[in-house]
Amino acid sequence: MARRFLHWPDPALSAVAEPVEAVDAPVRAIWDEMLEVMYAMPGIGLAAPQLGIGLRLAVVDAGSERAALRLANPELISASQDSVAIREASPNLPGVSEEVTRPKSVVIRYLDETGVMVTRELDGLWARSVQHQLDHLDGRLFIDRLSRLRRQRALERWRKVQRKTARKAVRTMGRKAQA
Amino acid sequence: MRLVFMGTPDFAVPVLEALVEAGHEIVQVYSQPPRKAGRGRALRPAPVQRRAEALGLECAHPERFDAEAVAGFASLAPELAVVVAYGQILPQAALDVPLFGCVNLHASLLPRWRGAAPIQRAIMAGDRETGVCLMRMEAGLDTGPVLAVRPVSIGPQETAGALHDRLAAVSAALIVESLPGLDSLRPVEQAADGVSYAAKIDKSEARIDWKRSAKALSDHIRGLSPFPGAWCEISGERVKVLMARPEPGMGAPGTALDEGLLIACGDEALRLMRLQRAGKAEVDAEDLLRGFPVSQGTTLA
Repeated sequence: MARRFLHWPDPALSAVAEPVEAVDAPVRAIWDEMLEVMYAMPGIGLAAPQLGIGLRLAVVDAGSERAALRLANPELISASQDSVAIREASPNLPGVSEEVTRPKSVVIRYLDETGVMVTRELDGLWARSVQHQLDHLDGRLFIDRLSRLRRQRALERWRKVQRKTARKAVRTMGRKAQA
Repeated sequence: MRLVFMGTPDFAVPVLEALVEAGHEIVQVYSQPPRKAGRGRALRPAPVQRRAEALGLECAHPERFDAEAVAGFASLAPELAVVVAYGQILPQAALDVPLFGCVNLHASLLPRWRGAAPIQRAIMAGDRETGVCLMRMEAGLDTGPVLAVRPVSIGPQETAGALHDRLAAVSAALIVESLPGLDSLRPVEQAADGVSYAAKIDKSEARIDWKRSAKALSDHIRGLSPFPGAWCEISGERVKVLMARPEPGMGAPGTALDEGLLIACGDEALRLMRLQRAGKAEVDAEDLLRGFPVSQGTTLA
């Protein structure tokens, strides 16, 4: 795998990604790489900025059989009135997950892998994942959707996890040095 | 923009209505000429013609799009033609008339199900997703480059009638949202693979063949419901089956496995849920059985 996940608070995660000019071979190659990374996690969606690619590209696959949506320049057209709280997490912020309230279903418009304009209604986990990816394209992580207090608590937890993994890494290195 | 609308059946009516509602100037409507229909075989105008006239729009209905019709079309100086289930082949001379060409709404995810009966064929094949494509028209049958797509999932119990109404509404939404930015939509050539053709439904297809699998038959029945309606013979009488569900069960194909219309198929069995006897209204299975019992062991043909 060529690229790795950026780690919060990398400023590239807060940048607004650029639209692609056309769906061409390089764009398709990025989608393929993103899908490989996403299925390896495993996850149900991925946005290009998470890998440090500042383009408005995303992949989503929230179904039981592999059938990914490849999205270029996706836009939110409309969202349902009723919303639902679902736990979200991000590989850019390992060890933290929080319930986020978002619309239950959405209508999005995007260019698909053939370059044609598609308007599609999504619900369930599909709707959830695509909204999470749209946020990434606008430089937002799921913690930016939380109240200030919950956001702080989430980040404290993240710091704790970071320290623990760091200590574990030091111990492992120590054992390796003794051996 | 000076629009011309071309369409014939019920499917095209909501699209016409949506264009009018969105404030587009429709200088002329075209539909197929009135046909003999119903009791008495009186000439009956097509649904689009009736709606157009009710909306105060002029409706032409040439028998064929010949040189004379093309000349009439050209005299309107249209900027764009929106074509939905018109049912006439437009010659290249007609396609060249509008300044910005002709666009067509087609009820499938092209290149799958080009042709006359895409909604019924999608259900009959057990597809779980279909949709509407907006394309630029070419002389070929539904071969033009695609401008925009709206995919729609097909419910596991959805009939062709229900899907027809949903796709008509989706078509209306797609054209209204696409027209303002039409020149920014990039036409994309249809893929060379994945092409299939949705042939017109032939009456002979509607007869139920109990040797097929229960799943295939339930899709077949949904796809032909409500029109023309899949049918079989029960006790020598022709009965339409409008809804059925696969259930576990085994027996010689066509045999009633209980008193509640569970019929053995090539594999598994089919629970007949909604039926219609000749000359009667459609009813749920229990209502049919009240006056028309079908005992276990009866063979349906």
